[in-house]
Amino acid sequence: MNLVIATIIDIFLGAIIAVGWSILFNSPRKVVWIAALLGGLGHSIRYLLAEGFGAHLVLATLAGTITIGLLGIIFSRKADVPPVVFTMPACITMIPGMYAYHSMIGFIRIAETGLQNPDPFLMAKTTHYFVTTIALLFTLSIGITLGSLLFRKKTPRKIELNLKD
Amino acid sequence: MKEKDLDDKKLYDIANLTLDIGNFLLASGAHCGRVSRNLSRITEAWGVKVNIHISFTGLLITAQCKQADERECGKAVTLYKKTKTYDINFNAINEISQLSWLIAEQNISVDKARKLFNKICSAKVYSTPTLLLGVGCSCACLCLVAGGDWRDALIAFFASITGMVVRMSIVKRNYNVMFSFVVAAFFTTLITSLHFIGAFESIWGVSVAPDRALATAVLYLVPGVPLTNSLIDLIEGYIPSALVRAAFGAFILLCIAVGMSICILFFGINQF
Repeated sequence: MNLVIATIIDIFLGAIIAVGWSILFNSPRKVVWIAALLGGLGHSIRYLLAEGFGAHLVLATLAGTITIGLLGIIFSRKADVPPVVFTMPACITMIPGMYAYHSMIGFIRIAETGLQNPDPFLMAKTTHYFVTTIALLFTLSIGITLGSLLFRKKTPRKIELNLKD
Repeated sequence: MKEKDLDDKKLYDIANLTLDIGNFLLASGAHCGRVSRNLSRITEAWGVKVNIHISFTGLLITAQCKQADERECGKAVTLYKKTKTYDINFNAINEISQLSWLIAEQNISVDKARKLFNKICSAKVYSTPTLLLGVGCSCACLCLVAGGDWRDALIAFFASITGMVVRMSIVKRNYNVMFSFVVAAFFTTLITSLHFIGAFESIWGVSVAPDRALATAVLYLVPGVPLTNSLIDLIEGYIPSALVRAAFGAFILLCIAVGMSICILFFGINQF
């Protein structure tokens, strides 16, 4: 029961993050709701897999981004916009902020700690955080790339541009 | 289209317009496959074949007029232009994609296409207050997702907005882009570090995990679009552009880390 409530909260938080990123990336107004939907869904899938089923974080993130990428194709046909416009903000909700922060602090510590009393696990911890950050960043890219790799729309789009001057 | 219709002036105009559109797409955050597809769709409607070399910092384009039997006639124009400052604009990507379909289907004139393109260039979707609110809300929610409480989220909200205001004012004065990332990361971390060492504890008590605010408040600076596009380019085979984008994104990350590190070392690493 706790997990269900936490997942519902996670959906809302993910949606708000995706809307914020859409605004930062200047996405068209009419597709912001799609970004919110995909962001909430992807983020909650990751949360559910990682917290509820104990999956590895990278694997859980991959599941979330692939869901976003595949649903993005369907929505892009419906709304007649390139999928990247909403898959990018939706995937970036899962950006590995804490891991990047810990690896940065680790690097500063490596420079700062004297050789007199070294921390034996410092190097191992920093490497772990750094590699996880890189792996999560790659995972995000894969989800976005999937849409443009697997299916490509060849037929013309619906044109909404105003021809009058 | 017959050869006599395509005089030198028109070929030059087409090449110039194509170059401007391609440069604008690159600066807006489109990957190379999209740029190349859009440009060839546009020029094919006017009976011109283009070959492009994309290197992210600039665009080299050769336009040749194409005859009905796919044989190239002698005329060719080669132009190069530097890309403008990187400014992500997904709305423009969408509208230029529509413009390319419009040109391909209704075969409108070059001048009219230029007018429509100028209109797309100048359009802005969101006002500055909306942008700041969006940045603040997304950083606050990222903080909540990472496990911070409402105090951390509030600090992340204000710190990210402060950093964004600083960055926008630096960019407006035409300073170096990388410099703006360092300074913005520094000011954001200044506020969150004050929260971390407990400067605001007298107002609302002790917070559970203040390091979450420190880590998530700078996330609005992260170059997600160049890094992702770099991977897409790598997969699609645009290797030079992929390497340049990766270097660009990685250097922005380094700049953020430098800005944060200066602030953290200023307070002393042992507190963190």
